[in-house]
Amino acid sequence: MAAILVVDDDPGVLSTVTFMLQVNDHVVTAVSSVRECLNKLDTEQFELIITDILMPTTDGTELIQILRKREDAPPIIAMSGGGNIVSANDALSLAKVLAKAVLEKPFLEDELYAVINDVLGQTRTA
Amino acid sequence: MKGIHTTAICFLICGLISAAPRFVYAAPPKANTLNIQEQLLTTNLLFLIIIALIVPTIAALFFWYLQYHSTHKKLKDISEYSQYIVEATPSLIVRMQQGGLVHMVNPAVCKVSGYSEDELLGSNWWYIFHPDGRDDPEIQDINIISDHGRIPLVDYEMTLRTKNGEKRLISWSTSNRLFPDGEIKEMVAIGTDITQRRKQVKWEQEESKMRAMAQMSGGLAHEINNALQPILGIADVILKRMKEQDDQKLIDALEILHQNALHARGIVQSILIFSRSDEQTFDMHDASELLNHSIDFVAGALDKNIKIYRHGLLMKKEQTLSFMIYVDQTGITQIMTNLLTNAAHAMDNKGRIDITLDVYDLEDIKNCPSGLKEDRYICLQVKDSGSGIDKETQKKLFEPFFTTKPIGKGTGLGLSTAYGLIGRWGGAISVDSEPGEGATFNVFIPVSE
Repeated sequence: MAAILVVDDDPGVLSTVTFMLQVNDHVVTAVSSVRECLNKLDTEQFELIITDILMPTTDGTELIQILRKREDAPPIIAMSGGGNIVSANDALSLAKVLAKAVLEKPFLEDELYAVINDVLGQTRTA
Repeated sequence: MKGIHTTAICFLICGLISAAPRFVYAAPPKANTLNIQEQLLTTNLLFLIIIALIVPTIAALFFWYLQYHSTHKKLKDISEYSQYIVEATPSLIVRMQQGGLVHMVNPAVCKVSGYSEDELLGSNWWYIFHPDGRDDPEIQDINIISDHGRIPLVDYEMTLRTKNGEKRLISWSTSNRLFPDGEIKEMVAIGTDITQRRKQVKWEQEESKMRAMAQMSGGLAHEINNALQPILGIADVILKRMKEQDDQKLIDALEILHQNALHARGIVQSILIFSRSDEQTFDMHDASELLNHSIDFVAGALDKNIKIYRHGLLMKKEQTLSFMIYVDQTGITQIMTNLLTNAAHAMDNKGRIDITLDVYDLEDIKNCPSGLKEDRYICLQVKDSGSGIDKETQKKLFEPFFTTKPIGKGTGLGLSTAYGLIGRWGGAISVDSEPGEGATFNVFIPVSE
């Protein structure tokens, strides 16, 4: 069980990922923008952040860059919808460098947990 | 030299003529001095008159000769120059009677058509190149034009069937030489072989269409992936837990939902391969080794009634030659899967598939697909013995979602995925087929040194 912060502007994806985590007894906080995410981080502690990459106003790559400067920031898993929108391609390659892992939407429960266990395992052993 | 000789002879004759009276009159000495003086005067006068007449004549002749010489030289130069243009130009030049009797052809005509000058001169142009005669729509058109008002043609495109049966597209412009009464004496036609240019334009249009489609499907894929996440994610989670409770009806229903969401995910992944232009998973592979391996892998899944025959560099004994290609292994397997399953379907799962691997220099590739720029390519040919593909279908073959299979049997993404993959490796794919004679898919991939 872990405290996880999920960021996605798409309500369908946001509630689905929340659901997929909650059924496995994780404590999930769901937010739909980078601003809300940063507010939450100021007041609460999280073990993991799962964020969408391409979002309006501030996108996931910027969030990753901001968080990498904070020493106490939790590890990040980026979610990508794929596609060849120019910014999406750039963002994806950037996310691959910056984030701990990248999940390609749509993903299955097992695929999600493989990545989560991998990332949390890395952090916990580190 | 001839000129100098003529001038010298002219001077000699003139000299003799002018000197002759002196010999005639001065020869016999006479006793009468008055007579002698008179005679001398007459002689000298005559001599002066002759000189006065002859010198300008010689000068005039000399200048006339000089002018004649230079005009002759100019004419000769012009003639040689025209001859050079006619012989060296890549444009096709033909002179013919209105009925088609060929008067003259230049070397370019012979080069493009494959016929020798002897075969063409005196023959009927229309009979040789358009044997269908008046059934040929191009001929009907040209007859209409030439029957009315003798308007010369400008940029009139006609297909020229060469001696070995190949079709070349020629753009003709003509001018008519007329008799004084206005009847057409002969037609002079100048043509340009625009086959390659037309191919290039067509390819560029095709390419931009494919690019637009790739861009659109890429954007679409992103949206669909987001929409699929709730369907697949929730179905997946619920299905797992339902199985623990063992309610078969609900499990079946969810299974359908789950399967279809997975199917949709597969489709979107294929579209993404078609639309993606960057990939960092390429590696150097030995072409024959990789392809043989991938054929083995795919062939195992095909019907037992399908026989696969390997030729060229795929044969084990020739494997001493090694050609490296810069590709991704999964991509090669994916292409092989698409080509072989398509071939198998085309033959109703029985028959033979011939797979040939060869290496060609760019200039040696027959019917070279446009867009190839490297010096050397491996060419993988997959030939089936199925029913063949008609020309209309060939045009759409590589477009996403185009399928000839019944609904539910194919996504229409196999060949568009292959097209996308091969394009990323700097190669190209083309198809040769006539209905009833099977189909051959040619995959060109650049050889990496």
